[in-house]
Amino acid sequence: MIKKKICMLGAFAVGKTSLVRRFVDSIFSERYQTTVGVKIDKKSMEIDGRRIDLIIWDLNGEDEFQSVRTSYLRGSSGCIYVVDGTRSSTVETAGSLYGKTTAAIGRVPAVLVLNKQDLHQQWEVGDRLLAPVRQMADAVFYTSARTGQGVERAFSKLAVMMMENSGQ
Amino acid sequence: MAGGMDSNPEDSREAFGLLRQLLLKPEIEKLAEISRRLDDPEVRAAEVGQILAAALRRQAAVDDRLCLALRPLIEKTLYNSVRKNPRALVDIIFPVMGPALRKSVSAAIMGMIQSLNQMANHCLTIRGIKWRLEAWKSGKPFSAVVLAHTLLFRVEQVFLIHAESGLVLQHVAAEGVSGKDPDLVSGMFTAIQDFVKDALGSGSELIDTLRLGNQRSIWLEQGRYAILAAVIRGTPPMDLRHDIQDCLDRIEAVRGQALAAFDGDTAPFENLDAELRGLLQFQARPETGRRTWLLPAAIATLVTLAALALGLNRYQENRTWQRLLERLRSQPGIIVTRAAREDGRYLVEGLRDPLAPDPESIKSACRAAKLPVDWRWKAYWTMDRPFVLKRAELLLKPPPSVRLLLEGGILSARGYASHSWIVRARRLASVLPGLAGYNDGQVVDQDLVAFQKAVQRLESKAIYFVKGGIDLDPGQEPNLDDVASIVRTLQGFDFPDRPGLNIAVIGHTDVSGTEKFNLALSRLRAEKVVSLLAARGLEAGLFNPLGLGPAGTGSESQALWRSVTFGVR
Ligand SMILES: Nc1nc2c(ncn2[C@@H]2O[C@H](COP(=O)(O)OP(=O)(O)OP(=O)(O)O)[C@@H](O)[C@H]2O)c(=O)[nH]1
Ligand SMILES: [Mg+2]
Repeated sequence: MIKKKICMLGAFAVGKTSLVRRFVDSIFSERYQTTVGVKIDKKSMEIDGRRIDLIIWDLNGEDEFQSVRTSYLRGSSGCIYVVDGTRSSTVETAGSLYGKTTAAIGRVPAVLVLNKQDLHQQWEVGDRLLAPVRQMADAVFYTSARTGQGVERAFSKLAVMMMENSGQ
Repeated sequence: MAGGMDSNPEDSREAFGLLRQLLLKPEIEKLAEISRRLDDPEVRAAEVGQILAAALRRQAAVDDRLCLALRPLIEKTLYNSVRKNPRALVDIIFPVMGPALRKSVSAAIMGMIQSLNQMANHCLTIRGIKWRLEAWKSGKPFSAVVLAHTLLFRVEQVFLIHAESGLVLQHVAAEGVSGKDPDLVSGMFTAIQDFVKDALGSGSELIDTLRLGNQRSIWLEQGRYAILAAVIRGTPPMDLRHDIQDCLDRIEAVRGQALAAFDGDTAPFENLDAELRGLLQFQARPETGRRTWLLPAAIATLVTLAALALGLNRYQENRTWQRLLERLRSQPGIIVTRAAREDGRYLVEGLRDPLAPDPESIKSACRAAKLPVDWRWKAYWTMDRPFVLKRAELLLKPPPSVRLLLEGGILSARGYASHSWIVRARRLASVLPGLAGYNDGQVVDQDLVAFQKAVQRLESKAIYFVKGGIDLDPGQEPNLDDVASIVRTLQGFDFPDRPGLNIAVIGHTDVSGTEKFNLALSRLRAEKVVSLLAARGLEAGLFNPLGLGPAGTGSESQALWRSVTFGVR
């Protein structure tokens, strides 16, 4: 059986936990309960007829109170960087987290998700702002943990890239 | 009378006293009585005594100030009293408490047995069935059997975790144990480990124990690439820690490369199942559960029962162990040099002939398959007859036509064999240990026999010449062809231990003519045959032409006249 550890990274309240909940349990909640430390979830999926277990480490968001512990990143085969499309500052955080992660564990397949797509009226992040972070990611998805849009695809893409990356 | 009273103060004082007497006599008497009562402690005590009970009762009904006031006094009194004479308190309390105590102890035990009973009923595990069988066979109540098997500790789950990623490589759980998804649990272990490392700095010691409530703990053992985590209920012995370490060491030794290269594929670790299951140990002793003030009494009872049960277990295990040792000791080809029990495992050290049966199979054969035994064997060659013979057979590899026998230390071979086998066997037998000698006098050398037959045929051949010349008699060509083919056959034999083939080609003449002429002629005839054979593709160097001159006049000799014959050395 194939198992891969992946990490959810991003600024606080961008919707990391919500995306995992949507992906794993197919639910969404308006309530915001910040993650302290790390929460671990698991989801099995099939890629080309082969089963792969994703062990998802949902880390706390980066803010002035707590920063991401790089030791949690160890052994990770892939990362999902989450940006809140309604807050342009979260783009920069994603970028700095990317630097931090790559320094800690080297380059691993990375997916960038621009979350809260359902709130397009309040959308703040445009192409010019995104250009630098687009570079670092192997794939970019517009998602909404609320409607489920793009969530499955973002995780699947990462799974496929990780499998290819290790020749499995 | 009034004036007299006024004029005489003495009189008036007296009169006043009198009047007072007259008017207040009962009150005065009462006062005197009261003051007497107040002054006389005896009387006062008697009186307070009369009303004390009522007073206390009343005051207690109003509020608990009295209670508060009395408490330290009573406590101190009790304390002093018990210190001075504890027996008294026991005597006082026992009639009340004794029955309750006994009842409570037995209730605790019964409750426990029942819940165990229930548990065993509940999950119809193999072990449950085994216990039922055991109860049925031994005639003991089922609950007693369950009690005997209940746990001092039990390893419920074992995780082999990839240290870096926290991914589960392999997970085993004891019967009937189900928990959260192992991947999630293992992830949390790792996260905790990471957190502590971060919080205390990287040089800090790793966590080796996590506690879950007061019943369960998790023992973690960290290796180079992997973490072995055991979820344990109860209080395990330190030996278990060593077992976990050993297990991890073994795994890392054998799977180090796969661990280092791990990239999410758990397939290389799937067959570690049995190794990990070895850690799912448990040890019998009843679980006491409730913590009451009766606990000491209950524990004492249970410990006794458990000790008996444990003793029985040990006894049986020990018997199995002794049986195994006996079998091993009587096994030819195995010499036990040390047998010991260490850290809950058994160790057997010794010498083992590679041809001796596998100790594991001996173990299963004497119903000790489940005994955890580590073997440490050094190879040796035993001189036991059957082993020497078997070893000779393996080494010499005789063809089916040869039989080996061992008599009085001498190995003898009988039958038919190729020349090369005979030569090789002779060489090998000389270095085979445990032999006094090797005798192959009764082995027929098939190649040599065939060679000799060919030699005979060649030596019976003769090539005839015309009188006085070196031309062949007419019709001698096929004869010469025959000779050539026999020589080829002889060349086909390879006897590395014999000198190379050399054929004497001997020329003869009749008796007419001079001696000198005949010698020369016979020599020329021999050379002629050699050249004719060489013309048939044979190497001239094989032949050694000789001229013998005239053959004799006997009838046998006349057959040689004007001929060339052959001889093989
Ligand atoms: N409308 C909308 N709201 C979202 C979406 N995703 C998350 N939210 C809301 O955003 C808030 C924060 O979501 P979380 O998933 O807890 O964010 P997080 O990144 O895990 O935050 P931290 O754990 O504090 O770092 C919650 O109130 C969510 O309901 C989305 O796609 N659309
Ligand atoms: Mg969160």
